[in-house]
Amino acid sequence: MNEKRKRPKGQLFALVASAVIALLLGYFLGNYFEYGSPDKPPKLDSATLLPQAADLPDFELMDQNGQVFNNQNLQGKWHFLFFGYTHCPDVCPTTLLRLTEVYNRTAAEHDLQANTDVIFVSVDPGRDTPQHLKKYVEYFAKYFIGLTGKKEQIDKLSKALGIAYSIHPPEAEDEPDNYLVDHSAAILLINPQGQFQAVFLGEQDPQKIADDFIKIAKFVE
Amino acid sequence: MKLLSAFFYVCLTLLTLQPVLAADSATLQVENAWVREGPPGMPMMGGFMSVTNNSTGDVSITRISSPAFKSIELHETIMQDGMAKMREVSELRIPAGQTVVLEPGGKHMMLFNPVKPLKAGDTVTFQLSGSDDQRVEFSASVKRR
Repeated sequence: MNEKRKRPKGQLFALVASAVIALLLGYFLGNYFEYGSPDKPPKLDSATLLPQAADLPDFELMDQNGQVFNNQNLQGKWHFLFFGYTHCPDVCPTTLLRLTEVYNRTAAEHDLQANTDVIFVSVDPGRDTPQHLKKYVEYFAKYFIGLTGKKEQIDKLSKALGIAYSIHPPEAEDEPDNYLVDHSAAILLINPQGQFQAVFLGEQDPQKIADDFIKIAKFVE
Repeated sequence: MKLLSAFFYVCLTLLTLQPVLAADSATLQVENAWVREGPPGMPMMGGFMSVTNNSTGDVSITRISSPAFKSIELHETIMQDGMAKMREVSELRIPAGQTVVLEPGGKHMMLFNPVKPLKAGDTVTFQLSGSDDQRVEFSASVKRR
């Protein structure tokens, strides 16, 4: 009798134990494939993560309040960086509005959201004065920073980040302020150490950008 | 008497033309027109819409004007090697029976120098001229999006 009773108990235990192990394994494997192991980079939909975060060259620009903005100002916060110009009616507002959406969709990660800013770097310092940039960036959100400055300082930063741009000659001689600027449409991610961490290229969906940003931040921190 | 017969002929001409004018007015159809609200004081804004050509022949948009802007051009954003380039579209042709969509990141109206500041919720009227001499009036709402 005793023998008979023990057997089912042992079998039941084995069954429960293997079920628990299978569940745990499934959970960890699932997490592994979803977020990657602590050492393995996360799987990303919209971003390209740099194998190693790259230091930026020393640069000095001016923010929308006329204050100096350099590498030190990048410390301690995540920054989305976008290069453009304020006389751009399509790509720049589209991208900047998208970045406000990205920011809103990180709301569940309170600390991360509180430590995230968006920087719009003008590649058109001829027209984009700090006063002009102030009206422009503050329209989008209060956590937006607008940067402008000397061309060689802008170039220092843009070249290090692989950003290309070209300013066209004015369309008419009597309208010297009416010209177009071609510029890279990439969104760059700078980590709280002030290093180039990742690039988003061509992604339209703010949710995908936000999801990838959260994955990158968790992986790096 | 001469004046009377002249008047008669003018009336006759207008009557003959009337069905043609009426048919033409329905050829180009503008839908979902909107203007993107911009930061204050910016000298240019973007406008978007879809234009359908209901006729059996191709029609080009030759001109767009609005009392709310100093001038309007048609532009197109082209993505090339990761670069965003904006180019003026000299002729926007709408093939017979088809719809051309002007949307962010693609073709758009470049609206220069708003006469007065425009805010989300405002309505702006436009007039579009086609290569077949028709004119279409349409209105667009200003939106933040």
